[in-house]
Amino acid sequence: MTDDPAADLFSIETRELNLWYGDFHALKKISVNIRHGLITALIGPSGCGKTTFLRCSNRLNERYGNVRTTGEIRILRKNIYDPDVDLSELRKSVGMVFQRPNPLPISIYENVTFGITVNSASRDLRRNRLDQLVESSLREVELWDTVKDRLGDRATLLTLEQQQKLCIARLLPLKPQVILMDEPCSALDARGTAAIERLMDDLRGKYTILIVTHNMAQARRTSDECIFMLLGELIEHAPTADLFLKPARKETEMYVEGRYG
Amino acid sequence: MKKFEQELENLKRRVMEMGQTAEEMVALSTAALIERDAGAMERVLANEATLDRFQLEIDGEAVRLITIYTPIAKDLRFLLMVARINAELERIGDQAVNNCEYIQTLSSFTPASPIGDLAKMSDITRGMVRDALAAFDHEDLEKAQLVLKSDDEVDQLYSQTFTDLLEDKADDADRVGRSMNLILVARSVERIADHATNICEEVIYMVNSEDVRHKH
Repeated sequence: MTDDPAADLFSIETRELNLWYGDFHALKKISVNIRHGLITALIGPSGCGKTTFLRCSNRLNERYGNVRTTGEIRILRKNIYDPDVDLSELRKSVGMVFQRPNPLPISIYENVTFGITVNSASRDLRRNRLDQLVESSLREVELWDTVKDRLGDRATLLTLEQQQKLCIARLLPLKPQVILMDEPCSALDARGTAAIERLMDDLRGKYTILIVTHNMAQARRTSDECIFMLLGELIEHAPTADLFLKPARKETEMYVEGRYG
Repeated sequence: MKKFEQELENLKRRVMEMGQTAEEMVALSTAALIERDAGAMERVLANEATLDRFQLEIDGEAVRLITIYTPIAKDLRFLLMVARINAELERIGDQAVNNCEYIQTLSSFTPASPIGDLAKMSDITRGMVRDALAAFDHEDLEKAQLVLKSDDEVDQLYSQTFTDLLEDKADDADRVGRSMNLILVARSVERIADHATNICEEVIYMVNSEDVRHKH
């Protein structure tokens, strides 16, 4: 795989990826290439393995006991299960956004700088450098104008939409290549959902975004490519318009037509 | 502007570009008829492939937008009508090509009496195509209604041209051949006017959901 020049197109590559929770076989021989700079949506009925797959990409599943993984996951061409992989480095380059916004109960400013101060010898970071990072990160998520005069306020006082934007902003100083999003709009109202979708669109091209969503309309609207999973298997991976218009597999067709799931 | 709105606007611009190509083909085929301009004929034939590419591209994009955004209300009507208008424009181009073929055959016959009503009919039809596109671009219902009225005039002129040519009792093959070809040209022009009329009916439906087909 490493000799394949086409691999440069991909941020995430898996080969024969299997995962078991105890005896339960949650991911079955998943082989997939996820392209740089695109938004790829993972869809499928509850329990199909999409969140498990997402969490494999930054080895978050290891936090749970009795998880066993076989096969290969390469992020930016590096096998993340190699013994020399530093987990904190991995999670810097693979950021994650969760269902419910989870800002730390500290200031907005400190939320944005938290990752980078934890990951650096703090004396290396001058205040004005941090100020720049906070401003550029908050601007990138279109939050700067709203919060620039109250950066010292507790982040938990923000609206849910603003909190979720902050959770994306705080990944950015770490210069992630990949952003994993696990149902990032499920706690938001329609306006907040639209705002996050707009933000995703702005981030397209700069980051590889892998998003799990139960909302098929959202998958259609936001993603460039779509992966349909069922019972732990990858059934189909295609450009989004193709997957919804002319699915190649019967299982995909029945799912996108709302026949089950 | 939201992404979806931007994508709709981009699609509309592509339809307008296609429309301008179709309109140019109609103008050129009129020039070919009236001025016996052989160069105009070649350009019509060259534009046909462009129009076909537009048709495939615009259809594909309309289907993609319907698939991705599940549009409703006016957005849905717009995309459905774009798919129809696209087909009308392609047929207008086909008729312009047919016209050129008939005109080519016509040129082998003796130059003859003034074409009269046919020239007038072609001029009106060309204006109808232009106005139908403007009605689509600006969602201009008044202009759309004017095009519907013009179609009656074209129908009358067609009927008159048809009768005049049939009544030409000459029995030499040259004149009969010429008359036959002029009838075919007139029929093509009349069909172009019908397509322009259809576009306007589609614009009316797109703008205010009123289905005016078969009602005027």
